[in-house]
Amino acid sequence: MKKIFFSVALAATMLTACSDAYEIEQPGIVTEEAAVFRTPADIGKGIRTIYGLFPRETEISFTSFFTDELGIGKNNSGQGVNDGSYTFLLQAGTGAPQAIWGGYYGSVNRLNRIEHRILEMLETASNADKRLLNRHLAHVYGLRAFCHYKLFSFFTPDYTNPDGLSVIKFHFLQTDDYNNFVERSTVKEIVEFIESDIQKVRNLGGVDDQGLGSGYASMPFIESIVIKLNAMLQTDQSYAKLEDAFNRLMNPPAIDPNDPDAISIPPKYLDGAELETIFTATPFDGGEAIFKLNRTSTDGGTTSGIGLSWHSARFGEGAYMEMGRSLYNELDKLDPSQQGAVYDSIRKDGRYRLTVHGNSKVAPNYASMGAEEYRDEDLLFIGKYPGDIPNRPLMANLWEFRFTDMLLALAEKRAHEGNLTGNVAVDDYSNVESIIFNIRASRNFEDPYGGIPVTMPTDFSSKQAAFARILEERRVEFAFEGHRYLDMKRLGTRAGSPGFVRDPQDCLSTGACSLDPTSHRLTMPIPRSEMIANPRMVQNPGY
Amino acid sequence: MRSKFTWMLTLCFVFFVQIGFAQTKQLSGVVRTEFGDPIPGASVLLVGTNEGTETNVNGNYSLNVKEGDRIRVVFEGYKTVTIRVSESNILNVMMIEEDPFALEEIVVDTYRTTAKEEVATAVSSVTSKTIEGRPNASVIQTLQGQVPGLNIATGSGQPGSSNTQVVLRGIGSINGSIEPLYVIDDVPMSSSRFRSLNPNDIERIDVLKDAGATAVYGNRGANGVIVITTKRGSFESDLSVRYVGTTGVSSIQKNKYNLMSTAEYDDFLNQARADYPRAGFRALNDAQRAINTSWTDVFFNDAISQSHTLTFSAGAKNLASFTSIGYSDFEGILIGTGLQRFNVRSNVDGKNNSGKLNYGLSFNANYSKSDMENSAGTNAVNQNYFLGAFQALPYLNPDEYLGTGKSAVDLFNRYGVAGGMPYMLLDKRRTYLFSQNELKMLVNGNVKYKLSDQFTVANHTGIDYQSINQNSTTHYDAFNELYFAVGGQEYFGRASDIFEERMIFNSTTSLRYENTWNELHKVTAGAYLEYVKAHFKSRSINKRGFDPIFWSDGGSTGWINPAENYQLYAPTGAMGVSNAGLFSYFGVASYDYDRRYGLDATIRRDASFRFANDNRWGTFWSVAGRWNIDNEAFMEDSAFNTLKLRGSYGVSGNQDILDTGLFGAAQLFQTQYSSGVVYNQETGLFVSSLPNPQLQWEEISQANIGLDFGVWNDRLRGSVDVYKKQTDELYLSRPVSAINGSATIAANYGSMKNEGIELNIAGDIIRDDKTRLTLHLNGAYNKNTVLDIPSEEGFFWGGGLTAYREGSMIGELYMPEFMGINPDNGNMTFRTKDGGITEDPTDADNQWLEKSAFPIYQGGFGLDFEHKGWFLTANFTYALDVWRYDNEYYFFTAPTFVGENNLSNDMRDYWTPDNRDATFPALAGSNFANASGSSFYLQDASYLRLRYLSVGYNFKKKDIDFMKLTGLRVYAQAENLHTWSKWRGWDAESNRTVDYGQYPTPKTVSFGVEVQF
Repeated sequence: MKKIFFSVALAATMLTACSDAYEIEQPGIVTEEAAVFRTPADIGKGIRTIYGLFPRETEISFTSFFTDELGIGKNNSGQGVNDGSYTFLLQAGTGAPQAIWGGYYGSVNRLNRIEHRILEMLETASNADKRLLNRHLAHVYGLRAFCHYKLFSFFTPDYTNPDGLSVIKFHFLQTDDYNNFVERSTVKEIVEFIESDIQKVRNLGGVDDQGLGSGYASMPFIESIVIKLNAMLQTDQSYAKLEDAFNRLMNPPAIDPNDPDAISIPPKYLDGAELETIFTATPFDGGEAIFKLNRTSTDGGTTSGIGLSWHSARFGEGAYMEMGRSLYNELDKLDPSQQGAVYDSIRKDGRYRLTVHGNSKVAPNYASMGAEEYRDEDLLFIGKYPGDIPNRPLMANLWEFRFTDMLLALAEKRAHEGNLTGNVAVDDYSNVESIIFNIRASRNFEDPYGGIPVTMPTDFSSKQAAFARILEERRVEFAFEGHRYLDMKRLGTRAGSPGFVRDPQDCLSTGACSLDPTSHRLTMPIPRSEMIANPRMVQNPGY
Repeated sequence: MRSKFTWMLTLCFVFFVQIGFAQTKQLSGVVRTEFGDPIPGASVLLVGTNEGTETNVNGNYSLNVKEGDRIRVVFEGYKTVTIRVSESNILNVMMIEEDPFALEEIVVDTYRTTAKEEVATAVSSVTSKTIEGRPNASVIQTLQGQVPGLNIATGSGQPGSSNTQVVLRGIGSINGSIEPLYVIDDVPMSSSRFRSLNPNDIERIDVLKDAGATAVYGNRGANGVIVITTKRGSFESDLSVRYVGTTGVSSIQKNKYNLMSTAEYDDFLNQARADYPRAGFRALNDAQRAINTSWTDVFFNDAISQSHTLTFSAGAKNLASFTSIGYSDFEGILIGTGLQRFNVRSNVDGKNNSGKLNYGLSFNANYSKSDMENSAGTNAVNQNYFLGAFQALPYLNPDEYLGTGKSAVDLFNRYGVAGGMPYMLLDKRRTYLFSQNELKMLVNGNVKYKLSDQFTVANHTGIDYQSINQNSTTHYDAFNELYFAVGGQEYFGRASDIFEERMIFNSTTSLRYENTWNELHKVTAGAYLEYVKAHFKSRSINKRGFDPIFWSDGGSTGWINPAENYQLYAPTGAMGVSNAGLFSYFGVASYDYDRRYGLDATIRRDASFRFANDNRWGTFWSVAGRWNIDNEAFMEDSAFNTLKLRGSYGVSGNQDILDTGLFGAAQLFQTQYSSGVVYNQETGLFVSSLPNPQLQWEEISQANIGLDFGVWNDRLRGSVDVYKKQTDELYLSRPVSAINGSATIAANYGSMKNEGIELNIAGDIIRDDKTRLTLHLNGAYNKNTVLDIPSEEGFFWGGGLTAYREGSMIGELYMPEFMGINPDNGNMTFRTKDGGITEDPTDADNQWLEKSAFPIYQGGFGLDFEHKGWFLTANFTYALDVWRYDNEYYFFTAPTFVGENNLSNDMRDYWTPDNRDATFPALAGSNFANASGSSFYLQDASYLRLRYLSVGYNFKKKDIDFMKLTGLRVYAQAENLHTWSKWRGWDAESNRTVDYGQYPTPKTVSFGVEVQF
């Protein structure tokens, strides 16, 4: 029996000695927030992460497929057609709403965590650190305002109804209480929340890009949020706020009285030649530039980037999707002397040369071509993102806010208040016609500073006509920059637009030729994942 | 002592002679094989006593009995025979060799070996006879159709692929592992990777199915356990040398896609052009019309396989050894793929003279090299060979590719993405190498010491070591290098090398007790401690840019120094480490009364590294009972020689909640942070994983009732099992609001159940001295029901083709239901949620189809026929009520692919104003986007397959004596010879709901020889 007792004793020893089998900390895993965010520099790294979460590629790709920006390319084997992107199929389960909703709320989740940690650190921080932490805090509020502005723009059915449903107001720390279900706030509540975050930014001394350029938030970025948000609201009051912000953009105050370096330079639109450079790898980073998402030679794989939405491996080759013929025709009109001709870089309006790739093969008689011939002989490649980031042929920086965008937002205000035409002159933004004149004059490739547009639209006879001109101008200016979908939602009805209209040649096989501006599909559905998870969520009309 | 005596007999195969004396008459007779050869040394026992004798060299025995007694004849390798003594004084006994389809005499699990008679649980056993000599690289594929309730679906024809789904008694988990636990010679395996194991080394496989059998495996036993025992030598036996060799040819199976030839394609284009004004397709030119390429033949070939195993087995008084050396070479039917394998196995067993101390060692080293394709199932037209083989246009000529990267680029530029596809793939075949070398070592030592007659202490300790080296090389002159070159790139070629090591240490220490009172009550009990610790390490390196002067395929020579252009030529690398561990203590106890009634109980406490605090430990248990009705007095005159009723209930656990194997899903109970380059080449810090502190084991409780029977001296035999298995604390992706920073979080929530019936039946239609014909059948019915899921609506759909809802099966197909072609406009119509018809279904119109890719009924049947040394074995397997989405067919019939890839002739029946009653919609119909993902492409994938057919001859000993051989057997066999199915694709069997561009399993014809010296 001794042996038995010995065995039992041995077993008992093993029992207690074996906890190393289940008490295992994986090497390098950190689970405490305070152990990760220790210093203001760590907080900076936390904020930088947020920029990587913005789903801008999705927005641009979705917009190009879902509107009249694209046509089916020569090398298309069903890409974008079979999945319904091109045929105006938009449902709660579609990828884009999920990516946008999840991307921005995921960003705010992290921003709120960082806010919480900053407030914690501020309690014990040194004065030097406090200054840095407050700067980070302003940055956090600025990005949070931006996220809510983006969510607001895609998921609010009616911008102009203050009591209508908008998105979730996400102003609290959310860590692991997965049963915290939040309902949608109203338009008014979301607008007030964005404004209060922006006020916090101002109270904290503002936010600056710290010399890193337009790939980071700055005060012009903040003013752009105010301008774009108020353009959507379409009230006298909101348009007043829009103009205030525009004026601050033009005459920026010093943002930090304690920091003599921190003075913003007013933005200005670029001429046609300079415009091209802002889409290259090392853009001219001033003037037009307000905010973009930087893409670098180490992002993604060899074939990745926004260009992959349309091209197979290189810009101007093997395209699954080409420029829609109806968009091309708008660009074509910009230089009446060349209208209807084949591709040539002597076109005087910079936007034609920027948007249409040099490899394009334009068939002037495309409309009378048979389907096969049209496919093979009318090749309209997208040239906007030349993809010259080293080692990443399709990668490009993605613009979010450009000065021209703000100027055209001011034009919307001018249209709203009835200042449709009048004194038309350089640097005169008092009426719609003059604003468009200023833009077109600067886009004149031959004579950028001569104050002479290549051509000007003529009809500014009514508010509707003025809105229509703004919508047209935006179409050619911001093609493939992810604006067209929301522009149509905001302006389509006021401009009397027929909506998205594709050339008949581009919808022969799909039957998807147009989408009315009053369609419910101009508001994104609340993604299915949210509908399933959140019992308090209400779906948008029509889905 | 009586019952213990027989128990020892069957347990150890050690034959004692114990002679007793009694009264009445003397019975005598001869014990022979079915071929009439006498069996010397067989034990003849008087049932119910401790009396017995053994047969002499001529097979004769004599024993004192009285009429009505029963005698039991036992001999190793033969089925035990129990016969009633009649009036006659002579009783000759014929013994039949154990056969793989009959019920086995013992059952093995890691912790216990039990006489079949005393087993109270649901266990199926398969022996080496079924496994040996089959032309499969993976032993698991051989098990298909052999075990009721075991559903095996192979998803790849890559030799030795681990892409085989093994499911026992229905899907037990949604996100967690559904695979059974594999245990080889007491060492739990890290995964179901069997490509390195030689099937010819395997002695037996026991499949443990009910909770009574699996609860003892607690933490990993919830999905069943497959116990693999390798061959061992026996004490005091002469050297036996055996050779098993097979060689065979594999080829691709047929398909029913009805693909077009060039002439048909040309004809179709001419017809379709008028109906489909799309910027799509061009007319063929005369040169193209002259070509008719079968691209399948370009990419596939008839593959040769060979396998050789040589074994040595010998035993001295105290030492027995078994050694096996094996070499196999399996070519894949896809050109460029294959598996080569080398195995060495050695098992040694030793004991002291008293037999109190036993020890053993198993050493198993396997090295394999797999040449693999690595893009099956993807839509990458420059990577996935199967797209080229199946979809490429017939009017393109493979000879246009000139064997250089430049010619592939030229062809791509000429024919575009879709037309250029086969050329890109031919170029890839020339320029791309992808191989995995695997070294797998299983080393297991055990020692057992009998402290007294009642107590035995034992330990077994094992190590499962696996290293995988994955190597890929892209030649500098590859299309993929040239076409995807970036500005300024001067040097091309890529190499990548991944090295992974896994080491799993496993140790079990036990104290066992066994005692019998009054020869009626037998108690066995054991207490166990089990400790598992595992380590994983990986490192990888990727390099681009090699100097062509020094290039060597796979040699990674000619590195261009990164200083030349850091961005382009600097190698990248990664390293990783993870650890895992489990700890358990548990007890088992069995009680037997007079070999008539038995009760087993197990209880086990497990701790897993995956869980924290209160959830770290799980308690699992089972009880099982049996009633050996055949041993009851009232059964003495019945035809039943075996009749046993079994019942069990128990709870086991599944810790592999995310199906990540031993190492994944660590520390999910805590918030995790990470660092990485996040934006603009700057490093960021972020939350990388949301915590779930409530994380816990999935719990599977299972009730089983079974009946084993054998009638007319086992001429008809079989078993029936009924079970109900419920999984609670299901680990599900619980959707969470986006404010949490994620769309889902994995959480224990929900439950589901599997209920089913399994039947296994075999009958000897003919059984005499010369001829034996056995028919056998097994079948299983399994019904899966989701009971509770984390959604207020009672259903969950995360997008995709399947969803689940309460009260219905897992993986239920959920999609727009196709309702026919609108005869007026040629558009497709679908059912709306209200039962109406629409051309534009929304998500809300998705229909529950009450179909899934998991078969409801499956099993196998077949026959074994032997006549004077000839033998024939045929095995059919079937799976019924299986539905899968045929994505391949979509590519052969969607209008957008006209002019892009080959098409099915079926598509000719598309709608036109003159053909309103069409199968396919109008080519320019406006709503074809809805066809994708709808039931239009859903296909019944039920099948019946002639899985295995073998014909051969067993030479009689006297005919081969002159060659100094003791055994010679030659045979021809075929695998997957024919399949009956509505499924159109190359392979009706698959482990996926959607199939597209996959590596189909081949059919194989092979020849084998077994020689014994």
